Parts: sequence; C-alpha cells; structure tokens
Amino acid sequence: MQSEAFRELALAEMDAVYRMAMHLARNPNDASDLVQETYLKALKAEGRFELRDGGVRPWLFKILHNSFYTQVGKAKREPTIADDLAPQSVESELDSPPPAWDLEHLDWEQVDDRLKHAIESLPEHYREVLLLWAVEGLKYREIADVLGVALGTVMSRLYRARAILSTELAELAGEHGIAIAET
Amino acid sequence: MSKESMSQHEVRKYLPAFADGELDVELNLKVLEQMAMDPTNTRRVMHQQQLRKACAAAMCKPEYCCPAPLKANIASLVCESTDDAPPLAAPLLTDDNALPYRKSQAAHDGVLARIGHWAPAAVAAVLLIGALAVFFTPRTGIETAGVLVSDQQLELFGRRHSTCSSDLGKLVSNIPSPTNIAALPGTIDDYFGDTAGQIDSALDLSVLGYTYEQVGTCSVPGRRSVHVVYKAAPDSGRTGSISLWIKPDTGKAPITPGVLHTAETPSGNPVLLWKRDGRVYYLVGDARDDAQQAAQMLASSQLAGQ
Repeated sequence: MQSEAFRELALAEMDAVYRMAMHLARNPNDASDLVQETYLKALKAEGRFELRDGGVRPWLFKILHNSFYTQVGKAKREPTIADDLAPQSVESELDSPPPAWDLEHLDWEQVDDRLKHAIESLPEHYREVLLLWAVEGLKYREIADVLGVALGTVMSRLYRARAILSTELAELAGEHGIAIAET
Repeated sequence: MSKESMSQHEVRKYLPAFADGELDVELNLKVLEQMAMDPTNTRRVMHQQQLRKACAAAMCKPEYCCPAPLKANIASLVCESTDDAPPLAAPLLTDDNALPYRKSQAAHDGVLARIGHWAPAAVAAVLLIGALAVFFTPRTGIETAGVLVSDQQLELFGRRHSTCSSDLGKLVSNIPSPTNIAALPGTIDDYFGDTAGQIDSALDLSVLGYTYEQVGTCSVPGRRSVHVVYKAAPDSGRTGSISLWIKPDTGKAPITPGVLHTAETPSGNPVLLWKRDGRVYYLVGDARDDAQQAAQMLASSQLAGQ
C-alpha cells in the first residue's frame, strides 16, 4: 500500500483512536499520550500494514491496545479468573433466554447516563470488547485480532457484557414502571 | 423447515450473533426459521440491536472527540516522518507568544533575594550565566524567537510539564531512570545510541536549587525524545519544577546553534530551546527567571565540556 494512502487513512481515524484511548485511559492527558504513541508506532511499522476489509482502524486499535497494556504493565494475555469462568458462565446463562423487551419505551436521556455509567463500570475485558463492537463497529474476528484472543472469548465476553447492560436497563425500566416481562 | 432445527440452547446462543450480522448463510437461515416460529426471538434480536445502538449513542459524546491541538500535532508528526515534508506544521510561533531572550532578565533582582543560604552555589551559577551571556551575545545578540515550534507543541509541552512533574508515574519508563544525576547523560546516550552525552558533561541543576527526579521517554517534541524532570530542592528558596526534553537533532528544527530561543506555553510557562552538538533541548519551567537560569546553565555546562 502506498505510504501516502496509508497516512491519509490513518489520519482519518484520529477521532476513533482518541475515543478508544479515552475509554482505556479514562483521562484526556493519558489518552493524548496514548494516541501519539499509537501513531508513532503505526508510522514506524506502516510497511507491515496490509489493507483488509476493516481498513486501518482495527490495526490502529491493536497498536493502541498493546501500547496501553504495555504502559500500565498489565499482563494482557494472561487469563483472568473471569476469563476462565466465562465459557461455563455463558453456557449456564444460555439456560435463560436473551431479553426480548423493547428499549424504545425508555427515556433516552436517562438511558444514556445510566448506560454510560454501566459501561464504565464493566470489568475491563468486557468493556473493551463491548466498545470495539458497539461504538467502533468492529466485527468479532477483528476484535479477536485486536485483543489477541480467540473468537469464542470475544463472543463470551460480549454475551456477558450485554447481559449486564440489559439487566441495568431493566432496572431503569422497572424504576419507571415500564413492563419488561417477556411474553 | 431446514434439515436440522436448532435446539433452544443453540437459538439463544446464536441470536446475538445473528443480530450482529456475524453468522454464515446457513446459520442465518436457521435463526430466521426460529424467528418465524417464535416472535419472541424476533424481539430478542431487536433488543440486541437496540442495545448496540444505545451503547454507541451513550459513548459517542463530544468529550470523546479528538481535541484539535492533538490532531494538529499528530498531523505534524506524520508530516515530520515524511522526508520531503516541511519540518513542522503551521501555525508556528508568532510574535504574540514569542518572548525574545534578554540578557538583562537573567540577572533579575529578585533572584538573589530568594536564594538565601544557597548563596555560594548561586555565585557559581551567576558566574556560569555570565560566561554563557558572553558566549551568546557576540554571535547573535538578542534573538527574537522565529518559526521554531507550533502552538500545538507549546500546549503539549505545558501540559506534559504539568502532568509529569506533578506525578512522576506519568513518565513513560521505556528507559532505566538512574537515581544518580551523574549517570543520566550515559543513560540518554544509550537510548539515543550515540555519544553526545560525553559532551553533555552535566545535566545537573542542583547548583540552582533544582534536583534531578526522573527521566522517561516521550513522543514530544518528536519520536525518540526523553523528558527529564527536576524539582525544587527543600529549603532552596525555589519553587515548582523544571522539565527538560532532549532529542537528537534531525536538522529539521530551524534553531540557530548557540542561540537561546524563548517562547511561552498557552498557560504561561516559559519555554527555552537551543541546539548543540547533535541534540535539541527544550526546557519548560514554572518560574521564568529560574527557567532561563537553568537553560543558560545547562547550555554553558555543555559548552564547558567541549
């Protein structure tokens, strides 16, 4: 891929990279540093980039993810207790069906606040998967590549994250007298 | 009905993936069949899609947009990494935020009064400053800062000075941070892969009342830069901290060798920059006099080492 085209594509993703950096670092200063480090590394390694369907975004996210976890010194690939339990947990959760109630009944201003808080409170590995999926629009395979985990791990983390958020919104609905019982 | 219908367990497993458009054609058909058989499954799919939209809406707020200065800085990094690109992106330093170095400011009346019992060290510092003033003045006179550093970079210098000096843990620790200032030039040499530190005979500001705290790598002012943090020593009469960035001179920064250029961050921190012997130095402080003295002293130390 032409260097000029790569740089144009990469620069077009600045908002997305910063947004994800903010979600990871949780403060603007650290996010700014992270974004710059990501771009410096991306420019250095642009020769190794191969353009795929998802464009340059998943690749930048992968650099961002690795930079963040390198900086904070977290062992990103070491399985957590939650990860170890996740497959079984998801299997057992499948005994209860996914929720079927209509979110459109909710007051969206309240949903935004409640949901934002709930997302920010999610365990880190659930939150990152959820954000890459919901906000950045990545496919499961791309998320697995960004995080360096198996596709099934992405699916189980996402399943759990969605279940937590649905429960939170169900509570909000209950507080406002909105019936969510499934028929 | 398809050859093999899904179990309820499979339906539950695949509904979210169906809602996300992640299933292959065969599984899609099976899920569609289940949705046709049970309208609740359709609502479940709708719920997942609504949830995704709601998450995106909740997390795509203006506070998550990339700030314009950061965008400009990244754009300049991209330009900088292109061989035929200009050294730095506009807008650049203007007369409004440029503060020309004036020799008279180096001998500000208030400085000695604050030094107190650090007087012997201060005398040595003043001698060094005098030597430096002699060095700078004949060659270039009073230098007005020209096109040297962008507003965005000034803003970044100020922000990182504030952030890293108040919390040393924010420094990126990609290099070992020596506890002894004497080892610092060698550490920086190792990182840059050169031997300029042999000329940088001292990065020590203790004679001015600022002690070396820590060093880290930094992406400002460009790739492969280091950020050294100094803090006012207790009972030195000094306050605040000093940040010194050092990077190899790529020849792109239009700084005249032997000239001390000064500028200011948007929040009012003094910025001093100079280049010598293959390296470019950017110093940011909290107090103007202290920053100027520190810059003069560092530059003179390098001179003395030649």
